[in-house]
Amino acid sequence: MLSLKIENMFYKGKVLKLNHDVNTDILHPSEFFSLNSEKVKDGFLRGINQNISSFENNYIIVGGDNFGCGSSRETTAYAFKLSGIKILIAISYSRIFFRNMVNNGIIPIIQPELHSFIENADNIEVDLQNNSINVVNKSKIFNILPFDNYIITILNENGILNYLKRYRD
Amino acid sequence: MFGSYTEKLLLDHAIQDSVCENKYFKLKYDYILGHDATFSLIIDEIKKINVRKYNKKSLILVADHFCPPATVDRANILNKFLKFTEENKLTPHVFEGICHQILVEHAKILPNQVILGTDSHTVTASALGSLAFGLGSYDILYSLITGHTVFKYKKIVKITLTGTIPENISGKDIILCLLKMTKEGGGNYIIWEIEDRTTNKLSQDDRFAFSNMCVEAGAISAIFVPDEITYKYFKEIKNHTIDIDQQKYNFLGENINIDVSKVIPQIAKPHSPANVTDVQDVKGVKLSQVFIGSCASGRLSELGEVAKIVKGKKIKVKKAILIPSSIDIYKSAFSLGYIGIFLEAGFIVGNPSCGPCGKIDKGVLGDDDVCLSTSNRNYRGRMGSLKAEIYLASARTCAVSALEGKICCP
Repeated sequence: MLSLKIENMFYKGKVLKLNHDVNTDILHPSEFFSLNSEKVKDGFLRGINQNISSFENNYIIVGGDNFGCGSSRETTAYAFKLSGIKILIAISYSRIFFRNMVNNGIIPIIQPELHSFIENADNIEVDLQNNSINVVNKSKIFNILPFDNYIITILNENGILNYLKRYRD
Repeated sequence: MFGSYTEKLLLDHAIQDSVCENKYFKLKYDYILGHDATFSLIIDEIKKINVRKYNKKSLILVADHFCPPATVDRANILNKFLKFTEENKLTPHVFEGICHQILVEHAKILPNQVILGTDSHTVTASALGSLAFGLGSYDILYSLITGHTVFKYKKIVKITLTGTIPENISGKDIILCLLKMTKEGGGNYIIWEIEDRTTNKLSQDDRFAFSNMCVEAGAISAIFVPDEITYKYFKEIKNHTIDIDQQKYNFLGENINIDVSKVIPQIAKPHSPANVTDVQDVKGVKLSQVFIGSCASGRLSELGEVAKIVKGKKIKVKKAILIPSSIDIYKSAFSLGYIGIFLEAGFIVGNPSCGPCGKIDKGVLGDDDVCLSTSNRNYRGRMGSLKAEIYLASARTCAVSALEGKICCP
């Protein structure tokens, strides 16, 4: 069993709580599909029904079931990366979205019970070293479910492009 | 003895000797489908690779999304795609139709293959008896370089279709029934294997419509076990003889039985493909647009049904768009007189492409629009304004509804 070993193993922020079945047309509407990074970044979370400016870039997304369902457009993942997102949490993820996150070095944490417990703007701390999520203002700790070895291998390389370079050489 | 047709397919392609549920393993593939939009995301990376070191022969490239481009940005993406294919002596299918239709019509695509694609609706091809599924662009890049994909599945679930298909029921109605049961995500990491034991058999076009939407439940693929319908399709379309699967399997997994005799016309209400109800329940909802097309539809037999319904009549809905899903289908529809019928009835007939699905082309929806569509996604904002409402249904339901200007049952 491999362990996750990346530069930053500790994160804290305010919960941005999203629903079940949040699809990629919501996370990154298709009009923002582009080869231009600025345009891609501009489309991040454009379809969600919340005003995120009050979070001041200090949020951690907590989604429900089947997070990221719908299109395979990888620009959704690029938008997450360009917006500085390194981790997110959900009950479960849609297959293609999960892979796109991992391939872009973003960690899709799986935690089944957290979503129903937290509310928007709760303070959480994510400790990847100890596999825990602490809901600080409610004094409750949840565990992070383990990743498959293949996923850890890609995440430890900070994404699949670096992994491919090693593989090729 | 194998557990199923799909299990045997996986074993034939697995790089190690065994396949395992719930574990990542390496799977060889036969072909990769790439289209102008999402394949372009990896062109710069491919240029960095030594040309001899990637699996060029497996590529089937199609320019269909920006067909032709509607914005400067998209024109630039298409041109980058075309330039790359020229420099690498690749022969893309340009403006010949929607990539998933080009794929199923392609001479090299056969049953028992593993087909990857830079698009989630690559699953459409699984209706021909192959494991076909979508991936993100970097995953496709990985597969181009390594010759395999790293694959994981939870289980194989059999779907057995029994009974007699009623005359007004299509593949779309049946998949909507299944989506009602599974909800979005109910098929996540599952491979569906479909055995058609109905007395009158789903047509191949209906099977494409069925498999196309399996991804809306999160299913990896919806593989129809090859039978006489598959055999006939390959003979007629590709002049190729396939083996009808006559093996016996020892399947011990979950089986979902659908008695198609009991299926009545279905419709997905806003804003989810799994928000399914009987068309009867939403009868009378006024429509501002009807769209017949997309990779989920636009096939010749469906166009034939639409032509039968609207012949000699005028549609009441103000905006009606119909798009055949490939040039070959368009040509056949033209020879059969369908296109003339559609134009007389009041449809706008578009060139084979994605059209307004995914907000890609003309026919996008405004704030107050209520659209009935044969496409596969009705998420908020999918075809335009976040405030617009999209219902999804079969071509027949769309045709009768276009005539009345409101949702009607076929």
